[in-house]
Amino acid sequence: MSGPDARCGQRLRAVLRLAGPALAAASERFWDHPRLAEMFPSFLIRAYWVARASVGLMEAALRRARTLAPADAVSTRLAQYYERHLAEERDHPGWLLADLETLGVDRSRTLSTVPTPAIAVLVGPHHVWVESGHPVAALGHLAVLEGHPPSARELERVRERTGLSHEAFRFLRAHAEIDPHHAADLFGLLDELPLDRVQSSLVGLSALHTVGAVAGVFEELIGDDSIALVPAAVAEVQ
Amino acid sequence: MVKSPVERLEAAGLCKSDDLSDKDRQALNSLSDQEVQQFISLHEKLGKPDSDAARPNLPI
Repeated sequence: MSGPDARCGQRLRAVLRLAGPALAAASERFWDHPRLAEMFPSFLIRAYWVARASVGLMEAALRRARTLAPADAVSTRLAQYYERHLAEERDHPGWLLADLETLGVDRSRTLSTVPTPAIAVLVGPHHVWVESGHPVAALGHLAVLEGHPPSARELERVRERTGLSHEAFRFLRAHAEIDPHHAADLFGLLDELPLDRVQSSLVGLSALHTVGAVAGVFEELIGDDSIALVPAAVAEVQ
Repeated sequence: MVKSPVERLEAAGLCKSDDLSDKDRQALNSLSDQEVQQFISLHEKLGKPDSDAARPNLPI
């Protein structure tokens, strides 16, 4: 085991500052797409599965942290964090189901879909890192997804451009407000945890993987022919 | 001569060393070989956005 590396939060901030343009490039093609309004429900359905799978990832990280905790100070602290953060995040998939209903996509329809391959690629490797590596790995995933919150201004621009209802953006608007706080908590934790170099590197790999895999979700979304199947209520907005 | 992580990132067009703060340079120089390689692959695959507007990603 290598020695302590107390700069993990600072290290990850530096990495994500440099990775920011790549993340923006990945989502830009979707948000600028001429059929954005038509594709928006498919985006929300993917966001639902990402949120749900991320809750599952935190639950797995919490279980692993509790197992390691008696002999591992980092896991003891992580277990406290995951427990608290899960309480904050557990309802979020439900918010997306509600937003989708305002677009005419009922819950049963959303729940009849399955996570796409790109979503499996986004979340799946973190389970391997958590189970075979260390539960700190999930923090890289969370840092990317919570560390780049949508801005309320940009969301309003998208809403005006698409002509979709305010209600369809409740989940996203809420995250414009709460994610900066969640990100501050997370980076504060990373600065405080006595991580060794291997654990710090695991967090970095997890974050970089997440940036690339988020790009994969947007690419998949743009190439998804099933967007033609969106409900009539959405198509009428065009 | 073995290049530092920042030198490798700069050679790949990911950053300009002179533009980095001392803190960021120090942080980036602590990246592992695996992280640097993954970073460079990501940069080559995704490139840069056309505009500076911050777009929504996938919040959870």
